[in-house]
Amino acid sequence: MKPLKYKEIMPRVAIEKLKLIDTEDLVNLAGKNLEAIRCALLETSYREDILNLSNQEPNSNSLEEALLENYAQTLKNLVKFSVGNSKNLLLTIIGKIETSNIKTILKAKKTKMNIDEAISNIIPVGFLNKDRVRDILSTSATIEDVIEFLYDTEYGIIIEKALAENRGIIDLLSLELALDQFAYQKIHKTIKKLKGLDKLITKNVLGIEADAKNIKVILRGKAKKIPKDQIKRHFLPSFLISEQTLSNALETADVKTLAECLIRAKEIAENPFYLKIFIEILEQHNSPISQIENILEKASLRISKMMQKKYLKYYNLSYVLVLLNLKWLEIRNLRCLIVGSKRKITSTKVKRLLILEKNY
Amino acid sequence: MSAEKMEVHPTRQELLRLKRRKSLAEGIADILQKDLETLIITLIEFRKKAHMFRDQLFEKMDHAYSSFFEAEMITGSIATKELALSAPTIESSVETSTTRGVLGLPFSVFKFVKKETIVAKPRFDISETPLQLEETASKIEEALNFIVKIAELTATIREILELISIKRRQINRIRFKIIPQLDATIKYVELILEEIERQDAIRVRVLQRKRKERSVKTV
Repeated sequence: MKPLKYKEIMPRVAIEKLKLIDTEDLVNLAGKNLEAIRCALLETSYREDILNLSNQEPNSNSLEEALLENYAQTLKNLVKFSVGNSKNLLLTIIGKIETSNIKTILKAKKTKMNIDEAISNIIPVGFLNKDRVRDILSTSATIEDVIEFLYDTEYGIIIEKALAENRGIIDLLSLELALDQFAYQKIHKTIKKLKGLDKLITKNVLGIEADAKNIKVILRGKAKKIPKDQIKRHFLPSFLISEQTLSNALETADVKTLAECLIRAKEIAENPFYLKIFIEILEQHNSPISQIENILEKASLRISKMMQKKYLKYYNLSYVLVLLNLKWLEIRNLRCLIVGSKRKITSTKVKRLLILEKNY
Repeated sequence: MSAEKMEVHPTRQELLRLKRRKSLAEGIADILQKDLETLIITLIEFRKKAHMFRDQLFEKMDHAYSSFFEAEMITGSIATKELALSAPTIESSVETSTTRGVLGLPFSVFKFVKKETIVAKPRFDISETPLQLEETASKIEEALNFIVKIAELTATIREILELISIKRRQINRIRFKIIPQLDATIKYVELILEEIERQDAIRVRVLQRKRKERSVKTV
């Protein structure tokens, strides 16, 4: 490990980590009204983003927008202070956000959503900034026009290919799937270029994200009685879990046998980090699917924290990935608090939906 | 309120006919009363059923809304709105038919029919959609079934209520119009016949007295 390449990003990561809201403060916001949450956020790193949107009436949507804006800013800062492979990796992660933004634009056009509303759901990072999105949405009349705008980007080929497979018919689900698969393929390629501990860490942390999504697809697909070939079509590129293991998992009858099948698989049995996640799923096989999905959603953060703990002595990418996971978790939790306040949900219920770091 | 009598010939034959009509009217009123009671019992049963379905509908909707709010809390309001609106709509319709119900009454039958697609495909992007949103969709689908069932019951209840009011009007007409009218007419005919009888008796007595006087004179 060369500490030199981390000399600028590590202090930045430490600063950003210090900016994270304390879990206790976050929990205390459950059940509070929107104004109280807004005032509390004004005391945090979200201050600037909230004040920048102050020309709008402060409401839940503008607060949600401020959170996404802050996440984008954090990512931009990390990219700015990173070099070499870590920069490449962060840019690939931004690519994943870009595909999510494209999906948002496509859905907004399909549903004829208000432009301002659609823009507030964009994470303004990568080639799609808010002005560009506004330009695309306001000048395009149909979803085809939006696709036309994207043809000159790297996503153009993917969309074109997906359309050709669908004989020119625009099926939003297929397009979204193609974009997701492309984003994860890109991550896969970037990880391949990494070496040593960084490769091991990113493969595990980002790998579990895609692998967990594939397991989620199997669980949901089977619950909804979707044909196996259709479920297979929704698989993202697998990182650590082989395609054969996924196919075997698809043949299982329930959560228990699925978890057992995964634990038995050679690649998982040899990976203590993955093994821990699937053992937990096996232990909780009787819980509702939402509980299992919760474990899968938290898997990336759990593995990144395990990695950080294990390789504490060295500078490595796990610090960056832990920060990104924690930041996203914080935004998810804040969004939960904001919407909960808007919908007047009881604090107990809001607290139940929060994903807290303490639980790890 | 005194009932108007009918225009009839005050004869014995007419009296017998009126009495027969009265007992027939009373019989019809009894049958109608029994029908009315059956209809009321059925109405109460349907009302109970409708109440039960409405409770279940509220329960489903409550569950659906709470799942929807949870989905919103997990993915954000706008993202949930986008996911929900961009999902393909379920092609469905309501099939209607009729069936013979209580007292042979034609009752409407409504059936919620979901058009199944040939290839079962997921409606939502599985990797992005929270489970709660899918739960909301399935709860709403179940709620739609209850809405259709409640509509069917409401149509049936409306038909029963209409029939009850018809039956009640018929019973009232018989009990408070036809029977009192027949009673009044019977009373009138009986009075006339009694009067005729009295006159006849006097006439007989006068004739007997005259015959007696005539026989005394001849003696």
